[in-house]
Amino acid sequence: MKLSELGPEFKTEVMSHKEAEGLNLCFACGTCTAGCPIHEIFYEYDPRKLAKMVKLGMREEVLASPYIWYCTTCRNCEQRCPQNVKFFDILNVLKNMAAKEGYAPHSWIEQTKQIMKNGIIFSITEELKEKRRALSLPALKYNGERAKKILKLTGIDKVKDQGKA
Amino acid sequence: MPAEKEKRIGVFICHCGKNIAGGLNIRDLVESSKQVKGVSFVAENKFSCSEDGQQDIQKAIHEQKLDRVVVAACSPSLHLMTFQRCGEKAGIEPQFVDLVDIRKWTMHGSPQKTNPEEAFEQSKSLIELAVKRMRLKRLIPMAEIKAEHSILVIGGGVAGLEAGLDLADKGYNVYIVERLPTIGGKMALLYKVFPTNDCAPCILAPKTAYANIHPHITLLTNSEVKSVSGHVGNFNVNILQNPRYVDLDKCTGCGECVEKCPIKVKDEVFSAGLGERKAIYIPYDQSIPKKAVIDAENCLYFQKGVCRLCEKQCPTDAINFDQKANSVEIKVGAIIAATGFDEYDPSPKSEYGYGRYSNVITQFQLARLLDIDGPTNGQLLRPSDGKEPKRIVMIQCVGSRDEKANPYCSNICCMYALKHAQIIKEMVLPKAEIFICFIDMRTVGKGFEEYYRRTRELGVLFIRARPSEIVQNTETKNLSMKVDDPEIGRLLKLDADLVVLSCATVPSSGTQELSQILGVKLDGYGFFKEMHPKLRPVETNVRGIYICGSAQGPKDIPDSIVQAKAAASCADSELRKSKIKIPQSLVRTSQLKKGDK
Amino acid sequence: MEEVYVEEFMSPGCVGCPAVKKMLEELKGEFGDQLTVEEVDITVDTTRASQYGVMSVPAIAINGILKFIDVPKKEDLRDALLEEINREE
Repeated sequence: MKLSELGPEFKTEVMSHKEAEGLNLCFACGTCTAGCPIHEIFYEYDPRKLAKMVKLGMREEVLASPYIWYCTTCRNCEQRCPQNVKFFDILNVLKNMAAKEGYAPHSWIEQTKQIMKNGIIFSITEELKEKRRALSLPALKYNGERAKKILKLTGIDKVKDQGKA
Repeated sequence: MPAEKEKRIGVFICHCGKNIAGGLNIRDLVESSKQVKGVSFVAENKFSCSEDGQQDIQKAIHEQKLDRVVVAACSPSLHLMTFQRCGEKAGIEPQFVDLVDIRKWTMHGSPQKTNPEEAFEQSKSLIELAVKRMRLKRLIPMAEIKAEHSILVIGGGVAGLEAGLDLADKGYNVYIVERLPTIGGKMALLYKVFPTNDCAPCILAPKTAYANIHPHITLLTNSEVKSVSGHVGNFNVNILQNPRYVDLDKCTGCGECVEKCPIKVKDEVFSAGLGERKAIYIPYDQSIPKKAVIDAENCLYFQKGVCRLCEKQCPTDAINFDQKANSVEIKVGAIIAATGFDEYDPSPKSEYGYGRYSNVITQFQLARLLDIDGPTNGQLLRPSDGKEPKRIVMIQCVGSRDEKANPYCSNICCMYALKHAQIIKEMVLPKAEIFICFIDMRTVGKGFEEYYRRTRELGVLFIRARPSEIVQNTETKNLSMKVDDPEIGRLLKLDADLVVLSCATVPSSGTQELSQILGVKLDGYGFFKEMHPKLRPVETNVRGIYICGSAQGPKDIPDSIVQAKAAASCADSELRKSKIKIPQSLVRTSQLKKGDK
Repeated sequence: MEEVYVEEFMSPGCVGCPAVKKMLEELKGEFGDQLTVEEVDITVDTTRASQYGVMSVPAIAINGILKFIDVPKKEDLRDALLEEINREE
């Protein structure tokens, strides 16, 4: 990997988002990675490493990485970060950039489509309704209109499908 | 009303090389300064502080018959004295020479750096203000006072003792005030000290013992400074001597009272909460003074009115339950604050479980456990079950370099972690595995890198990462944590029998109150603030009050000694002339109570 | 002298300082151009504070001489300013 082939403007672009301003403060102590439940299963997902990759300008590798979509949003990383780096927020910036450039994973697009259509990811099937009746739980009266409205406002319907799984 | 005598003011604008000239238009500033009322001469210097610059200023003073001077250059704390001496040599009263800082707006790296237009406007108005100030300024009446040939040192740790001994050897009468019943401070409790692994109490003892017998030193243990008034050369200090309930002159330190005392309590101070002591106790064998002290809060007689066994046992009738707190008034010429540090309490870092998990301890506690004269007589045993730990993990920077706790580096933690790892490997449990989880290893100092090397030689393993949390097995009380080792790119699951937290160094409790008593400013972290971080590290905003050791910021023993000697030297320079000149207002205001006029 | 230069020594978080500041603003209204007020933050300009012998804030120096510590009565402060303005050299 040649440094001259990487783009330092990537870091500037990421850090132009207010919530990502703290990125430069990371001193790679690894507390985030050690506490990350995803890293435990997929060692390729590594907050400390991602922070360095952004700083070095490894644009393609970061944005095209399927792993940035694996975050469970537990926020352990920023809770424990001694330098107050908001890694969860930085990851959101990266995901937004990735989505804009057509890197959003297929499964994710499918899920959004589902919400756009029904206002909910998992449809309320007859089987589910029957189960609830058997347990004498009240019938679900879910109206997905508000969720659809909010999603529409975010412009999520314009996100391109990467076409890959 | 007769017309006032016309003042002749000279303004000298410094280029400071490109530091100022590169950031604003000097010619414009010269022209605008000429328009200010009272200014009769304006010149620019490449470097006003240089020999050439000073000669130019002196020449102008003579040729232009100037009687006031304003230099526009850098910070008064840096160079005001330079220009006042320069003016004085040419016959101008030092008070009529002023320096204004225009460089802060122009120099690269200055936090206030701005664009040339803004820098010009700011500088212009600053010069106008200074000229007016000098034009109207009357001479501050000075008073000559007799300086007391005595010094107060607050804190009987290694820094305070060093400063006190230095001054006592020079002939000053030194009062050393110590809050605890013994002098020696933190160093006495460290067992061994890096980078030589000397026995800490052994190398401290020459100082404590000498302080104890020095003809010019008065030790006031169990005592606190309650109020300070006055000024340099003449401070009035009120000290509260808390009752010891033991007559210092009669007690021989035999310890028979301690043996008979039926009350055992946790020793939070001298065993870091890992050992016990009696309600009447002698802190440790090398205590100075080696005399007993009664802890009234736990004493049966004070709490329930019964017992008095110690009194019956004492062969010299030294126990005195009627002793009262005693207020002592002293007069001193200067004060040195050497109040040291405390170890950060890591409980707020709840992810590491300190306070909840019995086998998570701090490095200071570990030092007490390793000490042959400590609560376990040097055996390293886990607090939960008293067994020897097989695997020990140390975590660095707990509460240091942490924006959510203390943002600064605590300076000594890398070295004391190495020290404890060495002691365990070499002397206590050679078979124990030791892991040190660190962010950066900072071993800057003479002999320190070699010390790090020696630790690696002993087989201590270093991991460049920190765990996010510690989990305790509720049955075995063993601890486990995950660390992402970047060198192998894998998550390591570390199981440990004992975890040691290398906690931050924080200002000692009471520093805030003392700063108010002394009128000395604190920095953003609560340490005493020095006059200038590089050039005047032991002077404070109050003339005649100096600081040294960890009270000024985290530092190791060699640095504390150097600062202590520096503080002693400053106090000596101020007081060695038996008469000193100070503004009369200082004498007056210090005699008046606040609010009076 | 006809003119008077006041240095108001203060520090951030000082309790009495805002009262002194307000008092001087009011007096500025009375004295106009005859009165110049400079605020000196003793945590920034430690040198000036020590040269003048300022030990606590608020403190007021008039034409270079420390005249008041703590918050003065407004009349006393006015009298001191007048005395300086009418002073013959």
